[in-house]
Amino acid sequence: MVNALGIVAITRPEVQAVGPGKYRPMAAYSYVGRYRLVDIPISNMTNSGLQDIRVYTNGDPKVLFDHIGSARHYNINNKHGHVSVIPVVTERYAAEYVSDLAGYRQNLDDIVDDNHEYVVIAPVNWIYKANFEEIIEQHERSHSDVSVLVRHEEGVLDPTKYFNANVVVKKDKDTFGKFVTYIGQPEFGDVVAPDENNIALSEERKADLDELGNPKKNPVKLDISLDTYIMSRKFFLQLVEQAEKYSELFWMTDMLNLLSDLGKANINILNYAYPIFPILDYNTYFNSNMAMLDERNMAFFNDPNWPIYTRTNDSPPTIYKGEGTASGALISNGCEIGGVVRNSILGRNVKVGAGASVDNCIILPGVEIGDGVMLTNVMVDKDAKILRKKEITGTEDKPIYIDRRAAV
Amino acid sequence: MENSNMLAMILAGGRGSRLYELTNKTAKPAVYFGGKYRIIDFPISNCANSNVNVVGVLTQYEPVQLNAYAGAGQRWGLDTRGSGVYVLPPSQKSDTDLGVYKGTADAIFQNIDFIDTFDPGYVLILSGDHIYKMDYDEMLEDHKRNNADLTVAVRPVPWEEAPRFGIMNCDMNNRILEFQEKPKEPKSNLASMGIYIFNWKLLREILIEDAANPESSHDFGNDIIPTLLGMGKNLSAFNFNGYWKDVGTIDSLWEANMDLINHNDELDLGDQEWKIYTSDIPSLPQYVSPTGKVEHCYINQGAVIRGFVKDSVLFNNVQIEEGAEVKDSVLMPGAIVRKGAKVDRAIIADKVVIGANAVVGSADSKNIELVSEDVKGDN
Repeated sequence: MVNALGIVAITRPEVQAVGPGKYRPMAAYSYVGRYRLVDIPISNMTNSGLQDIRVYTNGDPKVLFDHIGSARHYNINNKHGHVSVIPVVTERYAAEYVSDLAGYRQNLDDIVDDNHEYVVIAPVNWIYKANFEEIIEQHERSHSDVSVLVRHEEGVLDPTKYFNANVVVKKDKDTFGKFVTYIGQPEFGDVVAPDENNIALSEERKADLDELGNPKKNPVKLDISLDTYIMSRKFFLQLVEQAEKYSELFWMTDMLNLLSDLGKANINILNYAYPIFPILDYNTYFNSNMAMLDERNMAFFNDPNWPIYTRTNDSPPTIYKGEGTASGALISNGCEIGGVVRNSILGRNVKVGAGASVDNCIILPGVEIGDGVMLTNVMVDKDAKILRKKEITGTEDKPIYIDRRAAV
Repeated sequence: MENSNMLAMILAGGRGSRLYELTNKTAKPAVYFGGKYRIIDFPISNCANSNVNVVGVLTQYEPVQLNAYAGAGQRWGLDTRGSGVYVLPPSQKSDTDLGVYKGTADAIFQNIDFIDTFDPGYVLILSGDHIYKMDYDEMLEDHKRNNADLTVAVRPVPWEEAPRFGIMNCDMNNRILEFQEKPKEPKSNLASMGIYIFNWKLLREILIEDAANPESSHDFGNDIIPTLLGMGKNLSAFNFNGYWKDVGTIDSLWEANMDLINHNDELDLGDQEWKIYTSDIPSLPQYVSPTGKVEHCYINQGAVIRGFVKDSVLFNNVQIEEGAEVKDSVLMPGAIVRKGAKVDRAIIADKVVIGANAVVGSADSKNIELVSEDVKGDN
């Protein structure tokens, strides 16, 4: 067992997929057919030996209570271990103004009473596989106050996919070329580390369009924060308590930048050297699902020594009826396939009618696709029925979204 | 949830020798079925869904795997207060020298103390090797309504097959008048399903008498039912018309698996009101690669298909490599069919590897081939 409390953090309000985000907190977004996003940080934690986990959530928590339940399915001993869901309460502000730190502040007693030496804070919107036991050891060796998990990517051709990410940037503090390291959303004039020739993302996207208005393929180097923090519980407590004095609206990154700036915190950047899959908006959500159809990514994600746990629904195996078939597809249990499924991901209990075709789609659980319906580049949310409209075609850049329980 | 005042005892001690190597290392009830389940998931899930919350599983042969499996009652939600799944192998008692269960009735007799601790009004006797969905609570209601001492679940079988079964001859009110074990000239086609509801007080007395009788074979069909009929007790038949299959042979096990593809609505494992529970293995959804092709199949999560699969049932973590062909077969968990291999009309036991380009089974074989050891390929 690892001497750390696991915290699954809430995401910043700008990080959400328009569409699916209407119906559930990000932690509950469906992932690769049978998972919810929250399964990934929890599995990383339990696989690393963390047994006490708090899942903070800033949306309707009902679905998370159902999904996490006793948490027995996450392979923890629920006598000495525990996973609890903590909805962040909003009193004075709209939900989106309540920060992760405000959430921790609301539950300060819980953190004070805890006995673990460290806290590991992980988000739901980065898919990665990390052994926190090793990461805590690295943090200990660094003798820093806080370690932040950072993925160094070279040759990023389409930096827009990280538009909503926190990245490591150098800020020109006094406009006299005195740069300070900062983790957050880059602003005009910031230098994206580590290569000081890189200019900030936001500016780049304006400057680097070709005649047709498409972004020029200039590979960029980025240090992307995985919003994953390791620190002693003592430091964490101080940080939460102090934050209020500076700003009630401060998020973890704001506070760390401030403390670092004031010389009150020593921040260590820990390099994460494996694949990452961001979920920062609708497109990245779609693409990070579809990425698992790539067999290299699938092999990484589907590691027998590092299982991703989820709640079972006791659905039967999937049946292929009549002419039903699939290729290049991940298909959950309980489906009935009467049509052709290509390059798509199906959640459980999806019905694909006879002669229907599903191409490059993400179909969430319980969806019914009628006979002869053709879907291309579409995400269909839970329990929708597509029976009357026979052809829906999105583009790869902009997959169409069909609402939960919609009748189409 | 209110308890039904009925305790279930599942007779899971059978050797299952007609399943050959599938039962070499595991008892028959623990044998895999239907892409995801084990046979015993059916009676235990039926109990859980029927509000029968205490289930004893009587095991005898190779009980280790079955014990480990059945002992974890949370799989079926049977771990709340007042419920549980208990595995009951034969045990030495202080006053007797009993090492094995000598018959179905003896198995219950040896567990009288266990049953007494729950003080049930009724005891439900089940067999651990049948595939079906049944509401035992409904059967209990019927039992009470008829004021019966024993209710036997029966199902109509084709007349020509009746001589293979225990046949119940009933009057118009479903009262059992006569029981014939494998009659040459059956008077009825209502076959006993080996599912009994007894009033516990009565059964307890009869079992103690039967145990003392040196002439008895200690069997429900041969001894207990005739004794009750002889005593003029009220025996009632409960008609069941749903899907039911004895999976005691390789061919019947294969057929029952194929029924899930060809008659999927009969057993309907997708019924949200009557789920069959089993253990969940963490794995990705099933993956059909761009080279894979699937037709008319029943496939569980975790399977990876890069070859061609037709009319087959695939369990979790089965792998079909590129260029391999699988037809009319059942592949149990972790079975691997290497490149270019052909499998036809076969049951491949769990974790068995069919080597590259090997050929197993054949389209025109009369019987289904059971493959329980790795088959070498050409490299």
